Amino acid sequence: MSDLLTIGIILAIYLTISICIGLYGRSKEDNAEDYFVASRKINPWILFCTLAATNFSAFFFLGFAGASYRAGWGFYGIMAMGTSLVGLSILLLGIPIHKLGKEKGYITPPELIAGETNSKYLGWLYGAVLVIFTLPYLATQPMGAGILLETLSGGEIPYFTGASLLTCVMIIYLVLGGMKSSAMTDVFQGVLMFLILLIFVIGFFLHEEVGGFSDAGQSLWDNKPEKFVREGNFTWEIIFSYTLLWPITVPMFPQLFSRFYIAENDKAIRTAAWLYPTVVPILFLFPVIIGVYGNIVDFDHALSRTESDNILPLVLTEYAPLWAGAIVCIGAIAAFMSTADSQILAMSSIITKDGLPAITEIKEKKQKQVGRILIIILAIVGLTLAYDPPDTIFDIVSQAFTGLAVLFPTTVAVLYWKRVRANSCIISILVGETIVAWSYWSNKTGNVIPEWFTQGFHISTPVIFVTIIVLWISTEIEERLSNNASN
Amino acid sequence: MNKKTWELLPFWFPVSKVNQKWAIVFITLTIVSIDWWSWESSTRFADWIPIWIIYSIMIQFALAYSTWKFAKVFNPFIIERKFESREKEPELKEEETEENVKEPETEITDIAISTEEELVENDSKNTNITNIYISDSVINRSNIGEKNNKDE
Repeated sequence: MSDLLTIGIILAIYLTISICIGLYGRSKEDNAEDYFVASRKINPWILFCTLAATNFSAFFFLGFAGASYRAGWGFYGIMAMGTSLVGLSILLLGIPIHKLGKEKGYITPPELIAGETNSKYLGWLYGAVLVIFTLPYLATQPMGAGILLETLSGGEIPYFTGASLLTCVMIIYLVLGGMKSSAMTDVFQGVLMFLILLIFVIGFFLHEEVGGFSDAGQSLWDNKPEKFVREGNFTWEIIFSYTLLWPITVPMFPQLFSRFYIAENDKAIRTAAWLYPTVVPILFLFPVIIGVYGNIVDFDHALSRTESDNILPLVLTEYAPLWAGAIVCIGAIAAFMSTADSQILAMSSIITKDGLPAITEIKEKKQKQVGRILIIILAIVGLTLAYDPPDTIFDIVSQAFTGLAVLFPTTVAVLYWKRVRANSCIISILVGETIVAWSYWSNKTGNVIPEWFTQGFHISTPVIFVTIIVLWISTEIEERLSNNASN
Repeated sequence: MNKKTWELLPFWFPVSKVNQKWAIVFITLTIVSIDWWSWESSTRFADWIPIWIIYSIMIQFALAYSTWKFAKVFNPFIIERKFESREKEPELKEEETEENVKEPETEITDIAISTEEELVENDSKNTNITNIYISDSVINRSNIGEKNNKDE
């Protein structure tokens, strides 16, 4: 049997199961609430699986391994603690968002922000930021799928063909099914990716050329001892920055935020909140181990920065038989698809419910249909962005995350602070995004962001700090001006 | 702490005593997770995994346990706002007193609804914001925990 046929059969089985699950869980009622938030009836375990599978993406599978190949074990410090803290964010934000959503019928994040501040302008700004910064993150999903299939098939499945194929399958079950299909396929894809990753790591160390955990460790220590330490790879300021960034930015992903609405009750959110940090510490070890121990594999040439994102499929082609490699890649593809489908659905709902109504009236019955058309358009946009990716997966995602983190202070203030004013939120978001744009521009033009501004931390830390201060002070000023006027 | 006092606090500050205690727990775990004191450590466990990774995993499990405990008592103070046009402006503005405004408590009872409204000045020319608070008797009491008198 040819290599291409083997990969094709395994891929076809996986994609067929995904479509069948998507069809089984499809939306049966003809209204936007059922299509976009699954009638708010998702139980705790499915909610946890869909939250985890949605968050663990191409970045988790390829980006982690690639960055760990370059920076060693220190990358675990960058990712793990911060991601465990996301459980706390799920609790603190998820419960009020869920309750307000259920009570007032909110379906999208901007709807809640606009509704609770009585400002459509804030809603539009919030929605625009969500869409703008989610698009590059969306593009990393077909990118990852294309890289995997191309590497695994030895170039027989070109990068863009692989990316297009998976995008098409995703469109099919999303258009037919909506949120319920997305959540059901997430459970299947999530379980699949975790099991496959676990088996792959164990299989790697048991391979006769690797010789077990201790031999592999000694071999790496003899050749590249710097991979075991943080010193020289990361400063504590950088690790601290990312530890803060993840719990702040992850709930701001529209695909995560929307999932707070779908819970059947707040108990589901409480359960997901503590399960999240329970699985992350072990789960995040897998891609990091693959990346770190990719350093003991002899490749034909030293891998470039972008090539290192391929470390997982490269290790597979080196050590695993083709059929086993194909199965591992299915796990990775499951990670991409479970994230991308949720991102597309969330952005589609934002544009349907918040963006388009500003231009033209969309009747309730037509919303589901409009949402479906937008799903196709957004999937094509993501694919187009992935056609010629400019940076590594980690670099693209890191920039997108900082842009989304700017929304966090506004969200917390709207949920917990009676005094918050829409204008103050708008000012804080605009100031934050201006700094993000400045840092992006500085990187592009080769300039360094001044040390006095970052103090050695990642740019996200001063951005978040400034955004909080601006929101706080502008609220005080606005309130006093308002009081003076009324007096 | 009465309503007027805690409303003056910045928005990121936990309001109730229970939440303040938990904030200290989570901040401490976050700080100790950074692990400055062994930053240059390259000591390995069973030759293949750094000891500082094991330490990080332990801290994360402590975090998971803390989140589990906190999830049982966390009872957020849901602010419910209503916005009305100026022509529907309420005639009377209720006086705020410490008696009619309390912090959230963490007690399991059924949902009961009663609200108190207060008029808040709005800079908009067309609208007034009427914030309706969910006070003690209003808070969704499906959550878990015990009432803490010190919180009031």
